[in-house]
Amino acid sequence: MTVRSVEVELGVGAALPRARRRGFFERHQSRIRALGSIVVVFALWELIGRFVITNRLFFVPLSSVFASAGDLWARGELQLHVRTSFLEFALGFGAAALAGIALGAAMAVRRALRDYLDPWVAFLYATPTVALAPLFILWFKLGIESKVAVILLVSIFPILLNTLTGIEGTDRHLIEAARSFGARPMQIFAKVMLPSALPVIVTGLRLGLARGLVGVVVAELFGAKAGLGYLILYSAQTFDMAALFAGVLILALAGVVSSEALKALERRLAPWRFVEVER
Amino acid sequence: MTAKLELRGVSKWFETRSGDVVEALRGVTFDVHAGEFVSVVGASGCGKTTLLRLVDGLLAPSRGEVLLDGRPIAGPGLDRALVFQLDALFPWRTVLDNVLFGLEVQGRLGEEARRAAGELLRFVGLGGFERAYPHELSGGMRQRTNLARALAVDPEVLLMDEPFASLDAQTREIMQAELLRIWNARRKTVLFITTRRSTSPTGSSSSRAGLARSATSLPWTCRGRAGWT
Repeated sequence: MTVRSVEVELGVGAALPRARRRGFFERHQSRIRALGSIVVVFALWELIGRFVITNRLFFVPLSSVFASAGDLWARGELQLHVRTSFLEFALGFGAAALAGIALGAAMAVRRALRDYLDPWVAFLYATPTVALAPLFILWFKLGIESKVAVILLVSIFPILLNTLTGIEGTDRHLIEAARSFGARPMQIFAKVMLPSALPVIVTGLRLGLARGLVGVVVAELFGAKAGLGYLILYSAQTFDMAALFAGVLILALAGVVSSEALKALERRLAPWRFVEVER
Repeated sequence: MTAKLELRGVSKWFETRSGDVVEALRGVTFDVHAGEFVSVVGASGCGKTTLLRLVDGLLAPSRGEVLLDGRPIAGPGLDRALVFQLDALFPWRTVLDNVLFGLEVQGRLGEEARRAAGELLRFVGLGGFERAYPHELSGGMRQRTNLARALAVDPEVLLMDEPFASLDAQTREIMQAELLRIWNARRKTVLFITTRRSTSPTGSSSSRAGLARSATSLPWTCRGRAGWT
């Protein structure tokens, strides 16, 4: 037996041939399963509504919900409710996003500001602020202002706190590297802290979004002239289950779509966090 | 030959949270000439990284002075670049944008700079990876990006903090040879820090460096202190 060593030429940096393209079902496996799950549950809903719980005061089949939504649309009511709620939400959540990110960032870089605001953030975050909705209705009347205020208040804190922790959590090695290249404090903030915190901020936006949607409904339940929350309340009072479910479904759909959009944004902003793992 | 870099009785101590004073360096005196490659060899925890941070200007000495071209160092400057121990690359920037970072913050970004950065990447063997992100690269490639980022600002003094410590033996050897090649080609003044003599490029048998020397022969007080690496 002889001892020998084998030298292997390793292709440093050489481009590898493209991996075998996986089939359609393999690539979309998760999505196909999710879709299948939705289809099954909706089918069960329809069947239970038709054959099991036949009392229309308690439950209605899915087809009736769609019919009711179509009916409301034809009368122009649904558009009004969706438009009203959407406007309230857009204003409230937009304000919460701007103020939350600005305040969170300011608190992260200014120690004194943080010390002053910390107790109030903790206090208000812990308070079930939707409980203040009746008070806001009293202050701002039935108009849009009261809803915007409620949505702003319930959705600002996850955004603010995530911005704060995101910026504070910036890898100090990266800050030091930037400093070593002569970056000024404003440059370190804009070119290192903010991009580093961005994925965490988007997660905060996602959490705030979910709370904001609850805020829309609750605010409208306490007093409104239009909106999806109003539609739900009014339908419940007139025992119109189909319209009630239509309102709930639209809200759920809005929540899912916007949340997925933000998730997609997270992936785009921080691809290094989502390195694909074989499962 | 005049000294490029001079350390005159440099001491540095830190105050910990509990109020204790930890001494990292005491009375360090040595100088480095222009174009020289000096390795500082010492056990971990003896203040080598602190030394580099003082020279880079990230820290100020507690006593003594650090002079560059005869002038005290006031802060990080365009004439020095630090290559970090861990590849402190920005994960949201492509390889090319990482390399351009120094020029960008110094307002020296232009078509010419981009072209030069691309050339530099080919020089360190990363041609074709300009648009890749750090997480898509191997450890050795990341460390070469790190090196290219420091070279991109065209510093007079290159400060290297155990840049190859985390690499495997084979990659380390390749990188050391590459560093010597770069040093030979560009004639930078290099201050290189390492724990082991064998990991110093100038200590390796393949060294062809005429001017290279090891700083262990210098009056160097190395005090073993856990926690300071």
